[in-house]
Amino acid sequence: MAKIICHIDVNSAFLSWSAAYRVHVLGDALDLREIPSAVCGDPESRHGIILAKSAPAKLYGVKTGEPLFQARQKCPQLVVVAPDYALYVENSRRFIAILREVAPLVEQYSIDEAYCDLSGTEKLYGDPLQTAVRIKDRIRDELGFTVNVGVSCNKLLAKMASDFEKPDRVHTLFPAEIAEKLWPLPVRELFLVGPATERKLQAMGITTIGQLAQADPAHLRARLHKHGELIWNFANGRADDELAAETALNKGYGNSVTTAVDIVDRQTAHKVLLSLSETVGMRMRRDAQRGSCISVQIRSNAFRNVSRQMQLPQPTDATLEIYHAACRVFDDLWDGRTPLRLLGVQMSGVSREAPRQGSLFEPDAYERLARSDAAIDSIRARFGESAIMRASFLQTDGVGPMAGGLSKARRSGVTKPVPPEEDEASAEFWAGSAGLLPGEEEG
Amino acid sequence: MTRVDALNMPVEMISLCDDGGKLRPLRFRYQDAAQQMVVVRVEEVVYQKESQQAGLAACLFVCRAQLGERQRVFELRYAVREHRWTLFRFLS
Ligand SMILES: [Mg+2]
Repeated sequence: MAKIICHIDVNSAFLSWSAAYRVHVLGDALDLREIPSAVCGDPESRHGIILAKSAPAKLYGVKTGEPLFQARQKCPQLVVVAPDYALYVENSRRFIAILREVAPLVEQYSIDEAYCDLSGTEKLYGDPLQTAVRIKDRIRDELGFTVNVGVSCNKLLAKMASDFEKPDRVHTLFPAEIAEKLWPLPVRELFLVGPATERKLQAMGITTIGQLAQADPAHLRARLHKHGELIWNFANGRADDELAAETALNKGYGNSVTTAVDIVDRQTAHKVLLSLSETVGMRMRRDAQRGSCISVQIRSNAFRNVSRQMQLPQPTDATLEIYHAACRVFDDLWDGRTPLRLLGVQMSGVSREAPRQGSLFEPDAYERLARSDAAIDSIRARFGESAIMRASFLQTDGVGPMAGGLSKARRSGVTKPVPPEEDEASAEFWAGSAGLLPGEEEG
Repeated sequence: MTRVDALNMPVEMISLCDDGGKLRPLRFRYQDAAQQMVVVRVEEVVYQKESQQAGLAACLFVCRAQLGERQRVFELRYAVREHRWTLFRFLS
């Protein structure tokens, strides 16, 4: 029986989620998706980075990853909002939950993408293409944002298909359709063809996916080694799905922060790493994910980036374990002199509840950390992110306890809170509740 | 058609949670534009549903009640995670 694989991709995820929140939860009339708008890392700073943009903003040439001032040059009326990672995590969870209700096998690929295996569901649901349409419509109607669904027989082609015309569309890309739908596209559109590979292919006279598909694999291998053969297979629609699964596991949870002033001492740097570990760990715990590889990124004040990674002895989601590993990697990476502008922590090798082996020396250390992290998370969820913090942040030099995300200025909607003083009216309001119970109210 | 922002005003609420987990708004109060405290006794829940819009669980109640001289229909919302009630909008 033929495999049926879907790739589901949220259209401009961060922007759509912020827009859906404003329209459906706050009741705003303005829909960010209908005007030139963007989610920007730090909207107050002109160097804030565009994280997602609306379709109208795209028409002005606004690009993901460019600094805000550059986007504003192209589109002066661009409306900019700060990211709300806690909201994005909720949206992602609900989105994946719907997929898990429908499909027997779901593999989350990133915060806004997932693969579903619908093979064998025909008897249950009918035509898989109709199932794909139903998944798309259900997410739109229940959650308030749109997705694209690509349908094919492997992950690669499904992913390529979901990238065709957007938004709110289902596209197929079965092997018989490759020549017509895939081959005319520029080669950079192909999965795993980055700018460097594109340049090399261009030098070989290859500009479309079709030309790559028909190139001599020996020739490609000579110039691009194993990667050449891989993308040649991709161009022909052949993919080893194990490989796609491997890539999926390598996606991770990361966070970075650009500091207002250069960091020149180890102690401050460690404090920043702690606050980054806090947000990364919190997001992993919310998703029930653990990571087995940590990488730390630093950027000097001369904008040189360096990063280093380390395999952890045990997969973890505990803030303190992430933090201690981050410090080790950082101490290894930094010369102790170069002023730093950016620090980042990334956890990869991520999997859902990866197993842990008991440690011979500290049998319950992880359990203790897990319990304390869970308590901290629930206090933050109920009382706000500043309700609890590590003591090291009490004397802080501009390093917040939750760096790199989780905006606070959200969920406003507050217009006129009731004043707290207890007057006669209050007493009557609360005391009068007895007569309100349904069984009693007619009496 | 021009759309208008919803009111989405936080209110103090007395509600009933029955033994089946069903929630029902009974009486609420808020300060109006003239700083006057308005107390509203919900007379009828016309329609209710649960929502997951933008990934956030909420309960929506379309209700009818006497507000001053007028009978009005309005929508109340309960945000499950935040444990907060809002008078979301007037429908009549
Ligand atoms: Mg996307």
